[in-house]
Amino acid sequence: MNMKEELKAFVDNELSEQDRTRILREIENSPELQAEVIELRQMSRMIQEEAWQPEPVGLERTLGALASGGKRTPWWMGRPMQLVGALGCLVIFAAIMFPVFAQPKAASRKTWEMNQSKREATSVPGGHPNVSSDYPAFSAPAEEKGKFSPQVEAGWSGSGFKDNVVDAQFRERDSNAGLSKGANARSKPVAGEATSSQAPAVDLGSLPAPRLEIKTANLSVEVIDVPKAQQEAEAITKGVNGRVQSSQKSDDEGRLASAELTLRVPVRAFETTVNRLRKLGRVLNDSISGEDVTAQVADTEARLKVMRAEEDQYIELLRSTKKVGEVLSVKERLSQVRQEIESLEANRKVLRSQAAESTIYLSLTQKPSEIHPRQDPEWSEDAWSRAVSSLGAVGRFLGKVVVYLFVFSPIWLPIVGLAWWMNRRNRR
Amino acid sequence: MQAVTDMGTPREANDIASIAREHYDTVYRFCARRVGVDAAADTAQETFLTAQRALAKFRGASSLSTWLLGIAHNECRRMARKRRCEPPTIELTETGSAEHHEETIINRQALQQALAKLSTEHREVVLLHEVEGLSYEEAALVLGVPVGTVKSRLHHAFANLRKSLTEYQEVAR
Repeated sequence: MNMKEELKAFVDNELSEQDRTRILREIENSPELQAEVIELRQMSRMIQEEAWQPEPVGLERTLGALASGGKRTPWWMGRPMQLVGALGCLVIFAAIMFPVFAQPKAASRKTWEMNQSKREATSVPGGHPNVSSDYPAFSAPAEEKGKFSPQVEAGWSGSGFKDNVVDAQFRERDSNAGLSKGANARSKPVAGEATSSQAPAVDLGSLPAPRLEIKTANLSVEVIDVPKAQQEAEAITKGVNGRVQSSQKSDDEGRLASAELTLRVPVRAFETTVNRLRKLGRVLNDSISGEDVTAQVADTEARLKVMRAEEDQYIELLRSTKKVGEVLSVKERLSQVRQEIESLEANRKVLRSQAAESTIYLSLTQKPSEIHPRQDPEWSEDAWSRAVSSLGAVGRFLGKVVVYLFVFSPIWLPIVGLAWWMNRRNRR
Repeated sequence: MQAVTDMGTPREANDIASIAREHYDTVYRFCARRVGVDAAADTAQETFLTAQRALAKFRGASSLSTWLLGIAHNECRRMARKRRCEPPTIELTETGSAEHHEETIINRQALQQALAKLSTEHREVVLLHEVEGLSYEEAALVLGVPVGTVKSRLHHAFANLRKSLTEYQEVAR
């Protein structure tokens, strides 16, 4: 290193004492070196004194990070805009993905509701006793209505669509009441006696204590082995002196096995049977409904009594009538009354039968993960076709995602762009 | 420094806090001049967090501030790569006294331009020695180069500055 090269070190006092003395001697003899030393000192001083001194910030944050055991400040705490962008993207992604995942669930729910409505439609053979056109209902006295209405309402509470069914039944009941009142009014002049219209009220006061209720349960159970579960369900039913009204089994190749059973069990064993059936597997759907038909049965029986009294009166009248015209007229009326009596008796029989036996609609489905592997020699082809099918499904899914992303791009693209821009700006 | 090297875990936590309080300004300014104000706080924090983890290994071979600036130097390089920062610049501001200005024969604007023309390596040693006030040995430790290299780089840096200033004066005439 030549002498000039050591001038800067001399100015900075970074030389050894020996070198310093040597350089000093050289400088004293050279005006050029003296000028250079002055210039170097001035440059150095100007840089030292006028260099930009940034104002320190962030000491507290650093102390906090040090105090928390060296955990770095989360990136989102320092960059709120990026956090907002990330959250926005997340929300959009969820909004895009939600309909895709919600579809199978909604479809499943819809199918279940359709099955439910189908069952309700078929659960009233020949029409519901209350809405049957074959069996004209009889109006219950106001006080009797007041007795059963709250019970029915309480029994149905807790399910929206069931409430609607009850409302419909009430409307029908009320309308039937209006009609039967008219029928009752028509029967009065024929009966010719005021006591006939009073009879139902008097008889209803001595109604039997036990209430008559039509109970129905809808159970959907996921089981490991459908045939075995079906056998168990049938055994449970027979064990309580019940019967299997109908059963339907499906075990198609490549699909999950399932079975639909309609079970009739004595009312007293209803709860026990339902509880035992629930234990067959995992309960997917479970609903129990009840309809109090005590008043309907009482109505029917009261009307029967009125009709029989009327029949007796016609028979008496027939005996005392001598004119042919009157005899024919009375006989015709007697025939009508007897037909009505037959109808009412049939109606009462159906109601009592339904009330005596409760209905359980049991749906058994096989648990997907517990399908027993078939000992299929063509397993490789089967696996291949399944894999290809799965690949297609994944492809369709990805395609859907791409379409959704494209359609929703006016929403997420600006947010992502903004987040990217903020990120770039923060880096600078 | 013995106190630092011998301390146990509970004292270590307290000491790193006191070290941070004492040296934060130096480290922050060092970082701000290299990666900019926006990233300086993050880089300084990273420097002290790294120092906290490495404190037990510090044997006092250099001063604590030199050791910290060495860590900060590495953190700044990492941050500069990550955020694609511009190379460090030496900015001069008018803070000197009026008397000093009258005495000096160097034009500030000319010096600013001359500093901007320096290579990154030369600018780095000028920053460390002139601005941060490190000795040649300390600057060598921070940069991880021999002292002779620092000495040589500083000589050439100032030679280039003088050359640029001379050219400026000739153009001004």
